[in-house]
Amino acid sequence: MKKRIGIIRALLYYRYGNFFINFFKYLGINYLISPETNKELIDLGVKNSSSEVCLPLKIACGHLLYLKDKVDYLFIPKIIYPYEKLYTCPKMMGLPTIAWYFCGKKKIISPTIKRNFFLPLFFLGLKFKKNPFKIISAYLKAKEKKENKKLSFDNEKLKVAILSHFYNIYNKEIEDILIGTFKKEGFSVYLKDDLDEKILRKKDGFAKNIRWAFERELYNAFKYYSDKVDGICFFFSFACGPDSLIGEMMAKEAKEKKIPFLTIIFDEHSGKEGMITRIEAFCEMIKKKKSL
Amino acid sequence: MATVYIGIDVGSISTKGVVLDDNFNVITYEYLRTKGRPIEAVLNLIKIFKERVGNNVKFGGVGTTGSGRRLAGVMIGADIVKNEIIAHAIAASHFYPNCQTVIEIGGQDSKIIILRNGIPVDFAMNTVCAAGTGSFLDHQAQRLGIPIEEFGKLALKAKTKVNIAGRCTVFAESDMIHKAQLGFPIESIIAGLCEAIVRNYLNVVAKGKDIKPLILFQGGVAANVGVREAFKKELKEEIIVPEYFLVMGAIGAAILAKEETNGRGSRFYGFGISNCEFNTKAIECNGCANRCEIIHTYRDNELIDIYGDRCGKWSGG
Repeated sequence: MKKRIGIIRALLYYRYGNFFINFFKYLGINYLISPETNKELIDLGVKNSSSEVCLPLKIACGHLLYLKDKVDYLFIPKIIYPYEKLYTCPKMMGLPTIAWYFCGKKKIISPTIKRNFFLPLFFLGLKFKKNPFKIISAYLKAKEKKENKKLSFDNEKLKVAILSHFYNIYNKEIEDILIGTFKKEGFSVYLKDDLDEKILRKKDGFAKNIRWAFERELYNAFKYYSDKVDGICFFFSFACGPDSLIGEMMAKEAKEKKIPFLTIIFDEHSGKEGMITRIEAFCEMIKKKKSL
Repeated sequence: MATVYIGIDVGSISTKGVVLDDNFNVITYEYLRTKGRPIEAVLNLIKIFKERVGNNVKFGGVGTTGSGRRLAGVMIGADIVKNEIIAHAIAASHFYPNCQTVIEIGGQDSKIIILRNGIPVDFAMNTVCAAGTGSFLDHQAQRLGIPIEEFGKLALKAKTKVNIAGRCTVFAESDMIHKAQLGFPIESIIAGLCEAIVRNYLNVVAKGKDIKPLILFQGGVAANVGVREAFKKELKEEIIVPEYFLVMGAIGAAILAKEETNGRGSRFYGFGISNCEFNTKAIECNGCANRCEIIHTYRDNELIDIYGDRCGKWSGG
C-alpha cells in the first residue's frame, strides 16, 4: 500500500502549507492534512502538552495527536531560518522533537531548513521517489508566486490594521471574533500578510536589530500601517516571548505617534465576550476621536 | 408626564440601575448583588424602580451595559446595548467634563480609561488575571469576618505598614495569613492589602498610561476608603470619587440611550415585565466539532432569543 504523509494544519502550515502540499502532490506522494482547528483539537492539545507553552503550540500538539494513527509519516519540517539569518521561534524549531515524544522518532520526517528549502526537500523526495528530475520539477512547480492584495487606503473611512502571526489569525473562530467585530463596526481591516514581502523584510531602523523573522515582519507592518490607518490592534498569544517584546516596542511608538493601539492577549481560557468588549470599545473610541 | 431614561449595568458581582430625568439628573438608583442570578437581579431592579417612579412616566430610552448587558438588553427591550468601557467614560465626562483619567475597579475587572477633552483616547482592562478586584476584597473581608463596608475604614486606623504581595490573590492571601501569624495587627494588614491592590493596578492595568488629573475613581471598590487613600498616596494627586460612583456605568448607559433614541421613544417593554417569568435554557450543539453552547431565553415560556452559535444554525444567521 502507498505510504501516507500527515501534515498538521497549525503554525507554519499557514505560511508554507500550500508549498509543501503542492510539492507532495506533484511528486505523487499521498498526504493527509488535519482538519481546521476546532474545540476537540484544542482540548486534545491542551490536555497533552506542557502547560507552560503558548496556545498555538498546544494546538499544534493537538493536530499531531489527531494525525498520529492515521498516517505512516508525519511531516514536520524544522525551519530554523525561513530567510536571511533570521530565526523562527524556538518552539517551532522544537516541534519535531516534541513530535518524537508523541509518535516515536521513526514516524517523523523533519528536514532541517536553513534558508535553503531545496536541498532538504530534495533529499526527502529521494526517500519516496527514485527519479531526481521528477523531484526537481515538483519543487519548481510547487514554488508558486504569492500574489499580493492590492491595498487601497483612500476610499475607506475607518481603517484598522490587525497585526498578528499568521497562525494566530487564520482560524475561522478568531476571524469571526476579531475581524468580524471590526467589520461589524464599519472598519476596513488590513492584515500583516496583506503586505508585500519587500515591505515586511525591510532592514532599516530598529527592524535591523530584530533577529526573529516573523517579529521583524510585524514591526515593519506596524511601521508601514502606522501613518495610514486609524488604529492598530496587536493580537498575540499569552506566553509568547518575542511578541511581548515587540508588542511593547510598538505600543511605545504608537503612543508617541498618537495612534490608538489595542493589545489583545489570548490563551485557552480567554472568553470571546471579553475580546468583543475590548474591540467594540476600541472602535467606539476611534469613531469618537474622528468625529471631533 | 415626565420623560425618564433607564440605565442598567449587570456586572459579575452586582447589578446596578439608575433612572435619570431629561437633564440627566438622577431620580433614583439602586445597587443589588447579582448573586449569580442576573435575570432575577434585573427583574428586582425593575420592580424597585416601578415602586419608586410609578407608572406616570414616559420612557425616553433604556440602555444596558456590563458583562451581562446582552441578556439584560434582550429581557427588557433596551434601545442600546453598550460595552462598559464607553459607558463609564460617558458618565465620567458628563459629571466632570475636564476629567482626564478614570480608574474603575469592579467585581471582577478593573480598567483605566484615558480621556482628553471628554473623548476616550486610550483604555486598558485587566487581561488574564483578576487579582485586586472587588471579589477578592469581598473574599478577604469574609475570611476575616469584617463587613465589607467597614473594611476600608479599618485600613485608615493602621499605625504601621505591612508589605503584602499583590501580584496574585493566592499569594496575597497566604501573605496576609503569614503576616497575621507573625503578630501584625489586622488594620496594618488590611492597609497593606489596599496598597498592594493599588500597586498591582498601576503596574498591570495602568502600565504605560498617561495618568493626568482630574482622576476619577469609580466602581464598587471606590467605596473602600483604604484603597482611595492608597491611590492618593501612590499617584500624589487628588482622587475624586463621584457621588454616584457605584452606578456610573448605568448612568452612562442611560445617557447613551437618550443619544440613541433621540426623542423617538423607547422600545422598553415597560415596568410590567417585572411580573413576567424569564427562563433560560443552555444546550450544547453537537452539529460540529465546535460544540457551541446555545442559550435560549424564554419570556413566559415564549422563546424570545437564541444566542451563542457560531454558524447561525440556531439564531438564523
